[in-house]
Amino acid sequence: MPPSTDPFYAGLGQAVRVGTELLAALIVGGGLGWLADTYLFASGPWGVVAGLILGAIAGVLNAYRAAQRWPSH
Amino acid sequence: MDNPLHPFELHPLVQITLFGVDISLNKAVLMMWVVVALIAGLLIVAGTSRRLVPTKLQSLAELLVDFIRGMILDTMGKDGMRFFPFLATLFLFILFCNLLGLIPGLYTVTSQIVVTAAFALFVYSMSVVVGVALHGVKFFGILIPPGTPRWLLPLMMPIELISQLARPLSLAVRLFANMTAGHTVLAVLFGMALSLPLLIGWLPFAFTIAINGLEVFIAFIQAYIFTILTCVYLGDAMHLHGHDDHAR
Repeated sequence: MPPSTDPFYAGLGQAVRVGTELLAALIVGGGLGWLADTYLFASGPWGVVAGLILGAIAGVLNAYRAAQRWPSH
Repeated sequence: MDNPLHPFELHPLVQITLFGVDISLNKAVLMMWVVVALIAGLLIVAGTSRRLVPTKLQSLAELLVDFIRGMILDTMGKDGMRFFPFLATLFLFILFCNLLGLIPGLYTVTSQIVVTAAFALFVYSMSVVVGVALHGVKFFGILIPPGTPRWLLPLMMPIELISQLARPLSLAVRLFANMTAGHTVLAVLFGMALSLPLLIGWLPFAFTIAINGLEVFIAFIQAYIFTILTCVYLGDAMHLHGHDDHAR
């Protein structure tokens, strides 16, 4: 059992994390857009389009924040 | 040859229906009971002797406890220790589910997205409840990043909302996908090893052994990531925007 302060494990944890972070935000954004399109406004594909764009931005933001927590010692 | 996804199928072993709800026993339920019994048994046996010079089992338990403690102190600071029992249970349960699933013939509970999604939703709701309990309405200020100009708010709030809602999804999908993918690769390689002639069939078989070793490592890393992200989310809820001083 390695110590949790070991930079290798902390770094590996961060690395594995970033990929799903991007994907999850994209899915949530697109999903919210689709929900708005289908049940709220009947606004054609535009809810999904806007949702995907916002989701992509949120995903990059999440990945950026995950990377910012990188142990710097 | 079997479908490589065949090991993930669940069939009821004993049909039980209670008030119209299907609570049949299946392999996953049995595995969870085994895991819970194993962890409890291990820690109870390890904790009874309390020698100054620890036995092997006791020092293993001490290592585990120290590891989880270090994880909490690193991410949440000292006041995070009140979540220690919950986080230790979560870490040990996921770790043992992942590791026991690697033994051929046993079921990997964490390869069911129902299980991982239930964990992720519980963890995320808990962080929201903790945040609201500690900070009241001010907790929803996490939707507004500090230093945002007022005219950017209509854009930033949806983005922050999405990035918050993505948290439980990424927690659930990460654990589920890693476990399912690993076991599918093992099943495919083993199927190849069985169906090819010996002359070339030893190659995929050697790979199954190598990847099984890798899976042990992944089982540990995934349990670690799930728990440390739980710590980070709970820490965010406790410290709001001040979290960057505590978390790395």
